[in-house]
Amino acid sequence: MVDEGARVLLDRLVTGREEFVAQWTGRVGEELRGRLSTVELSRELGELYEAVVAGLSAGGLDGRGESFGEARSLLIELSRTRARQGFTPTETARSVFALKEVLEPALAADAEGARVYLQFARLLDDLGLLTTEAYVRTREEIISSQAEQLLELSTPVVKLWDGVVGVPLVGTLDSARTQVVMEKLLQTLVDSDSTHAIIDITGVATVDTQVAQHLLKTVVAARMMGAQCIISGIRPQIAQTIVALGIEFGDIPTNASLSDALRQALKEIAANAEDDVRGLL
Amino acid sequence: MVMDLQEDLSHRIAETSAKGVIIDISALEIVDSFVGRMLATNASISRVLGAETIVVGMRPAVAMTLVELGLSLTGVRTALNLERGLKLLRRISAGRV
Repeated sequence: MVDEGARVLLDRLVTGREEFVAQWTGRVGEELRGRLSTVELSRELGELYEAVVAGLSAGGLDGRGESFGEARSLLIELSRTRARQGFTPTETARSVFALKEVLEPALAADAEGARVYLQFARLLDDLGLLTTEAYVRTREEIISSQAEQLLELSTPVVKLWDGVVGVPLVGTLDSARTQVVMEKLLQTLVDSDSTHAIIDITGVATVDTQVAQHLLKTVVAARMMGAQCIISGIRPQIAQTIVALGIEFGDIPTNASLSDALRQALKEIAANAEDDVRGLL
Repeated sequence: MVMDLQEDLSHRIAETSAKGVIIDISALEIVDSFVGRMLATNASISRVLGAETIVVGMRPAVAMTLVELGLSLTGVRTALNLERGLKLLRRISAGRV
């Protein structure tokens, strides 16, 4: 159901194809100042032009319609690659809007052309908006994947000694991280058959009730599996905050330094081993 | 089933005058608050009858679920695996813990 306006537009777009694409490429190339090769740009925009023409001939001037599906997916792809290459969303959207400027002198000369031009401009506005949306989405994907990697990187569980594992915590402790730390710690306890775990919070900037709550959860979970937990690396000002906030660590052993915690763990392990040797057990 | 376990366990402890009970939950993959409470209740019953209960082989996922449910199994001793559980039991009976 192609209406009169779309047909007029289509005629002019098809006849002036070469010229329009060349002008469009020229304008966009100017805008991007040589950061993209002309050949590549011309290919990209040529494809896009074809898709828009195809969309027009199939479904008229409705940019949100089904007929523009291909044009939209091309634009989303274009926006994604541009986002990864470091172009701003404005530059990507301008690439689309540049077509308006190219078509303006050719279409807006006569009354009928002007009316069609306005309709087409609306369509291009829609498509331009789409690139911005795709840009934001791509950026968000990048950010969330980086956050995930950061989470993985920031929670190492290391074996300190036979039967002793250490968890050096750095940064802030929120519930998502607590979950990851807990999972890793508990799995390592099982895998390495360790009876002691030392959670070192030297790198944790602040300890508030929330963080303390997360720490306690981790310790309780490790205890339920049958391992002893020691919290180490409590700096003087953190000790003061803990007491000021009235946080109770109960019977969980805490230490100022990792070495003290390790000594304590080894002492307990040694005592148990001694009992073993004595035949007490 | 849980009520049966409670019944059987308490009778058996009384009959054999057992000093220790080991509950191996290494095959337990899913827990709810009811199971958590069951473990605590069994431990209390055994203690009243003079036997120490040790829960062994808890899986990480199970421990995390129990923590999220707000259960800490206080009063229940735990060990990583059966071997360590038996050692702990002997240590307890030797008065070392």
